[in-house]
Amino acid sequence: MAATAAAVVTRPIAPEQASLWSDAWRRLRRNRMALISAVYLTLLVVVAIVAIFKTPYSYRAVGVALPYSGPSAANWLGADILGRDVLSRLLVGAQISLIVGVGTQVLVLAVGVPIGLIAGYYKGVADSVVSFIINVFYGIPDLLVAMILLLLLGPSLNNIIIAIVATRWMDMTRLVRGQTLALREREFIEAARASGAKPLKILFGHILPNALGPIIVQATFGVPAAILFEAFLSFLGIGVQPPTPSWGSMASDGLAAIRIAPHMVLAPSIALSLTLMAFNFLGDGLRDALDPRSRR
Amino acid sequence: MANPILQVRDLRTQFATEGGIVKAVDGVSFELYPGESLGIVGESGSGKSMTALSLLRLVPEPGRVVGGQVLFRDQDLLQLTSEEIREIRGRDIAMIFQDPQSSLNPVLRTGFQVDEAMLAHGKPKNQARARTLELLKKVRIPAAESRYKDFPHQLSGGMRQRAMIAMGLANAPAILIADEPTTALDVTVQAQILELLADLNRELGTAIIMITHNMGVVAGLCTRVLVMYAGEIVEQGPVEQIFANPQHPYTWSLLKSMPRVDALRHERLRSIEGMAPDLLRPPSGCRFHPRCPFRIDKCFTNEPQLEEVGPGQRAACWVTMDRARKEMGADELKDIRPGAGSNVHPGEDR
Amino acid sequence: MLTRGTLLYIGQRLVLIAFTVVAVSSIVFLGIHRLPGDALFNEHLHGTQYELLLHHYGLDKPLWEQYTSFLQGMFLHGNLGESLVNRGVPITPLVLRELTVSVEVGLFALIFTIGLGMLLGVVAALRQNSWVDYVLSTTSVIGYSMPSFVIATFLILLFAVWLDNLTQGTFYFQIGWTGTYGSIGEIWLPAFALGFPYASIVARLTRASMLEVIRQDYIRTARAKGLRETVITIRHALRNALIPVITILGPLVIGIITGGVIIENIFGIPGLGKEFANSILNRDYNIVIGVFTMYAALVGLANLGVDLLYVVIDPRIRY
Repeated sequence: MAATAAAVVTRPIAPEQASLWSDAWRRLRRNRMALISAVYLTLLVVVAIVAIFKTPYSYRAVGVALPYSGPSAANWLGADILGRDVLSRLLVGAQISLIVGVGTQVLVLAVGVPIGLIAGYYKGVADSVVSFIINVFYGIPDLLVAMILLLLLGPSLNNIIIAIVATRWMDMTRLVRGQTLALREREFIEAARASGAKPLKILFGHILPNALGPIIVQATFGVPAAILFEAFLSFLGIGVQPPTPSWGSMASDGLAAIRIAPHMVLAPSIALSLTLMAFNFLGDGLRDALDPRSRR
Repeated sequence: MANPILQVRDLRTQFATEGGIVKAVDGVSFELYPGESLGIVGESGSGKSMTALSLLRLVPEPGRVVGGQVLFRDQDLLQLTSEEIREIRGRDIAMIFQDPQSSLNPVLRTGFQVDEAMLAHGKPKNQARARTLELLKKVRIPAAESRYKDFPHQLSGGMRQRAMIAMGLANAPAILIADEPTTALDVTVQAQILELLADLNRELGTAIIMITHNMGVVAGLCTRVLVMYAGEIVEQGPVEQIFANPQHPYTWSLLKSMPRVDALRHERLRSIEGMAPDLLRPPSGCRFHPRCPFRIDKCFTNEPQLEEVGPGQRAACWVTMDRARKEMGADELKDIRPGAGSNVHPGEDR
Repeated sequence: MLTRGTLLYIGQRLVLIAFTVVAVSSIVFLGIHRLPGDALFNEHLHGTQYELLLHHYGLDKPLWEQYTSFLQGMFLHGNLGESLVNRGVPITPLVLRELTVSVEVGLFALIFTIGLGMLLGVVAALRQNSWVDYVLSTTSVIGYSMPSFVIATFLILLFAVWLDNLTQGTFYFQIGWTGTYGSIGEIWLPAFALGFPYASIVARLTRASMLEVIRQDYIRTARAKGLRETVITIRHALRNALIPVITILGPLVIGIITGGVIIENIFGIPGLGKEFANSILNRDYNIVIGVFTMYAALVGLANLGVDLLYVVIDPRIRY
């Protein structure tokens, strides 16, 4: 990643790029929903990091309050079936969600960007094979395949991330491929090729920086998709395993006690919805900012 | 002559854009007589299509008819409720459009789209269908029964435009407005469609308003012509007279740039030199003066009004071609490039 | 509509689906049987009892023989084997019964997805840039950001718990499947929870495509004919606006099928999804394989159905 970042700075990029980023930033600042979302997500990240070192109670400490007891001064979000502090568990759950969300997108980028670049740049057989595989994967029901994968691999945080990447890598690959196909015909790429630049340099030094906008947007939308996926799996009991809390498994536990302790299901459900919403609003904002034509 | 069937008075249509108000139609007045065929000519952006759309209140957003009257059978179409104007559309005044490819709905059967014109005005389904078949035959579509069931993409461009014409004629309207009906078609097909329109005009007595940028089309079909420039009528009169003796320099340029041998062969007008006017900031005085080879000082500041220049012929020009000819001599005039905006009145120019 | 070409196309697709089903079930079968320990190792059985059971399920044979007899059973007799947890329960009739339940719930969910989604999209397009449009656009983002189980939670709270508390037990909706549609909690609420997130996506797409369509020349033609606005909107605009919506129907249907796994668990609906989740939790491998095979067929057929819908909606497409 560091090498790529350096490349962005030092290599010549398309002339319209420089002003594009400052224009985009200006447009993004005018989008109120995106800004609120960005603030919320920043807070969430800060809180999740703080929670590594300090939570009100240990997330696994049983009986810190009466089982099912509602919100109180001591336990702001009440307690669960074993008398564990819901707030502490929610904060640790936030860590899990963010790790899964960001972790999958890092892997998706690591898989999708090179494959997409190669398929788009070399076209021909490589492209046909990649396109075929992408289409096959689009035809399979992702959640079901991820469930089977977890059954085969065994449930762990790493395997959850692997299962999500295995079923959701196609969006990014297809996007990068499409961008590369379009960019490789542009004059400044032709010029680079004519001046004898090596393919690797063209791909990562010229094409990738110019496709960065759509890639960022796609990755932003990919994070909530992965978080949702993890919540689904954990809700079904085949994701994150107890006693580690996940928003999905907390909601599942809470749903069983919905009549006597609705706070148990409401807390993780609302946290999850707000987080997904924030990512989606931010993604919308980024897309509108980076591609003004798509705005209404 | 009989009473006019349609009287347009001081029609004004404007578009509110981000840059300001565009006066697409700016004070247009004319009459249409029963059974006649009237041409409206001009370059793109002259306001001819917007004039036509304004008559039936079909101007697209953000356009708006802001003033004037459109009198049809003693009622002002601009004052009707939306339900009343809907009843006029397609029944009394029908309209056909430039591109039959995009003007027909791709997911509905061609015949049904003709039916609809009648169903909209209360004709029972089976009668509508019978009449559609009759109409498809009348516009010379072969194998009408099977074409009825075809979707538009299964027809050729000419067939599609014939179907559009059938649709226009469905309710035997008093007026048919044809907005560049031949522009998107092949040359031979263009001729066939024009011939068809001429025949229908003669046989059925339907009055036709023909919107075109092609003087050749006017020559072939129309009895009277309006020449529009920058949202205004600059000259009007009987076709033969205008062709023989145009008085407005713009009309003269249009005719001069018209290919003589076969008017239909060359699709677009060989464009007149100079830029078409910016309607956001129209030129002062006479709107044609920046491109006019015969302009005088007055043209920069004062706007000319339509005035009688011959029997039934009116032009809005301070100079007029008669005077230009008189002062310069016929031979010299031949060498002047139309619309060049050159100074042939050196003494009078600023 | 059903030309020779179309029938041929359907035939080819069905063959392809059959191949996919075999491939998918084979991968799952072989994958599962390579797991350490055998399918019965959870039960702590000993001696002859264990041997007998192994033999009963054919687990004492080599993997290759197990696989061929599995394929034979599936194709020659439509037999997907027997549950490992509930002894003696044959899987095929069980899964088929559950399939009908899941399809039923899925179709109800599609009513919300398509019906509600298109309605909201059309309204937003016709009132472009008004407050209605703004509210709908924002709710749309909220809609697809809400996981189906969160929507389900709120529905249960609202219709079962809070309504119950509010009326002190005199009026509320029973949640749970009886197979009789006795209460909206039985199928309408789960269908709504399942369909609504996708309805938001459909609404967005419909809005965009309606805005595109109402600027088209043929809408002007329709108006010039003297058609009423309602006829123009429904017959002329909506039909065309549907075309891009169908392109995402395939993924939507897959989403509804997979989403059913969660919703069926929440609302206690005895469908394929509930069975699938339970069988994975119980490690009832035979049922996992059976249900997954059924899913592969269902997804294939649903995609075929969507592709055939194109032909109905857009006459320019022929196979």
